[in-house]
Amino acid sequence: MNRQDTAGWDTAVQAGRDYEVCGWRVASALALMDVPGWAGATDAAPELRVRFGPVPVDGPGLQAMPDGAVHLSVPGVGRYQIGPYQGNGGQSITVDPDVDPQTEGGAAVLTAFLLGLVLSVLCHQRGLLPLRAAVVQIAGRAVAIVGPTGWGKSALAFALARRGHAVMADTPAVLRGQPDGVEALPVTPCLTVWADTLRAFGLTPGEGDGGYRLREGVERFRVRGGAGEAASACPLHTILLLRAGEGPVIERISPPAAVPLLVGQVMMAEAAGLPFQPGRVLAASTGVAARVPVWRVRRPLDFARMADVVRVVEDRVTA
Amino acid sequence: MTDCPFPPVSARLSGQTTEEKAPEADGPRRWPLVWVVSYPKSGNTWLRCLLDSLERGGAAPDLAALFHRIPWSADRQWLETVTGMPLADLAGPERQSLRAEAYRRLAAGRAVGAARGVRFLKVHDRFDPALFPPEIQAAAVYIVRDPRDVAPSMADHLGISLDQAIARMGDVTDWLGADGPRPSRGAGEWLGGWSDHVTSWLDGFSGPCLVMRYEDLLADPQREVGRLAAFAGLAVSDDVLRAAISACGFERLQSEEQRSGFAEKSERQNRFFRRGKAGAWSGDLTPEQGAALCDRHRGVMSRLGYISP
Repeated sequence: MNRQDTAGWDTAVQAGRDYEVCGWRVASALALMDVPGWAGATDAAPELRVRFGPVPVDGPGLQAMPDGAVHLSVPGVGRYQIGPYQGNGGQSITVDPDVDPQTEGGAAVLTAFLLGLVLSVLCHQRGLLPLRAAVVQIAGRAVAIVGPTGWGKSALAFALARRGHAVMADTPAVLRGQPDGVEALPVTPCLTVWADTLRAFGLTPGEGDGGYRLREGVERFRVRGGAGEAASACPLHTILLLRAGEGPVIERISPPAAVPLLVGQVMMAEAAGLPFQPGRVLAASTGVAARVPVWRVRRPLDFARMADVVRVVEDRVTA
Repeated sequence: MTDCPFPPVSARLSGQTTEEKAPEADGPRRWPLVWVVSYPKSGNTWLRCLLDSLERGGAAPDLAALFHRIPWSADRQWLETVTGMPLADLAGPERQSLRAEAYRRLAAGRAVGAARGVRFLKVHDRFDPALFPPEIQAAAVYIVRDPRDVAPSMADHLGISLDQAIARMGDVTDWLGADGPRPSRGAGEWLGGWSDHVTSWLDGFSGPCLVMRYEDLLADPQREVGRLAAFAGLAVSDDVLRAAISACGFERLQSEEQRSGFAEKSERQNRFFRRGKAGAWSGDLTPEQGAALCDRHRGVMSRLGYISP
């Protein structure tokens, strides 16, 4: 760290903004909502800094800069700069907010996108695979529930969390390849669910256990997963791909058939095509499909059979 | 319903202010991006099948792949793939600005993933320069159908009554796929009313625009598909033209749907490709319903040759 970095780090620590994401120590000028505090060694160096500053962008979405940094503009939320890329990945994230980060609502929405899209870009920079999935630990085994927005992955994760299983991440699931398997890294115990999910569980959106609204004008709510928190990396035991249909039925997908299905659910895949590590999405997805069993779960999209779906998933993981 | 006679299909479009560009001398011009536009249930999918078949030498349409080859411009999943942005976490106006950005990238050749190589996009929105920015320099093919035939098809597709469909077709504030408890397949499209939709494109869109009538496409496919191919910059032989017309005949599309399904069929429909006829409204609508449509849309129907001025 240079002198300026050290000063920024000290300020963040003094402000109590010393967090842990994916096992990294994170010093942040932005209050990161629902992110665990750093519980590791007090003399550990930060692996990521979050600061405020101007981020010029040219329209919404993702933009690669000549110096290797990636700019990301989220309409109505703000702009983020990830990087520049420095060998083992971007060491800093700069936030240029459109909302007031001093308010709880502003900090919450800035955090949500930071732990979603921004983290996904960072994963590509750091050789990790960000999947559009929620991760829950069942009997100490990490299970990734994969599917596009609105297909019910967070709803199923929420149902599992209500049964006492710990939530590790929600969109992205952050996966790290190991010689003998794949690890899921802990991001946040929070899930983002639709209002109808909360109502299906007898909760009032935005009140009590019904969490808080992600943004005005959006029917999505951030809720804490439930009982436990999974603080450390965990071997990924099972991947579940959600599909609508009769059921619940669970069926195995062969590794070759699973590869394109996983590739399609890699978040910010566009970022993987930027100058760093081109072509690694396919390679990483192939590696995951070869090491972790992938199952397709067919079930009705409504909540009528949710208890049956939960049972089928628990039986599969603990079998 | 004698006051609403169905005119000869050869009736000339009148009052049209947009321009149909002729093919250039050194071969047809290929616009980098072409909007394939219509009010819903007006033949848009048929047109996409034809374009897809023409691009592939007259091959039979692959309904399962149509979604990838000529995507729906408001498709949530497609937009998320193209932009990497989760639309569910954006409010309505933000989603619209993100859509415009996706099209800018596509036209500028900066598309990635699912959008790579895409030239045609299906559109149901009324024209809005904020959503379809003029600097993109895209062209448009606008297919229009007699609103009296649109109404029964729309009622079937949306699972609503004929009267409700007719009311929606007169509602300039009408949105398709507006926010519900869960995201719909679409990011939300401002349709406007039927007349409003037609004039927004024919009068508001400043790029080159080919206007086609569903009824003309049925009556003289050779001529109409030839116009389409030329406008779209597809240099095809007469054999390919004939093959594409045959491959996209209504019975062929129906049997393809029966054989392999069609993802764009709504949950309320028995089948997407229903009848493919012109003028069937006379057996579907009551005289009052037909008259209501004519009264509401008289100016545009007359301009398009569906009724006498």
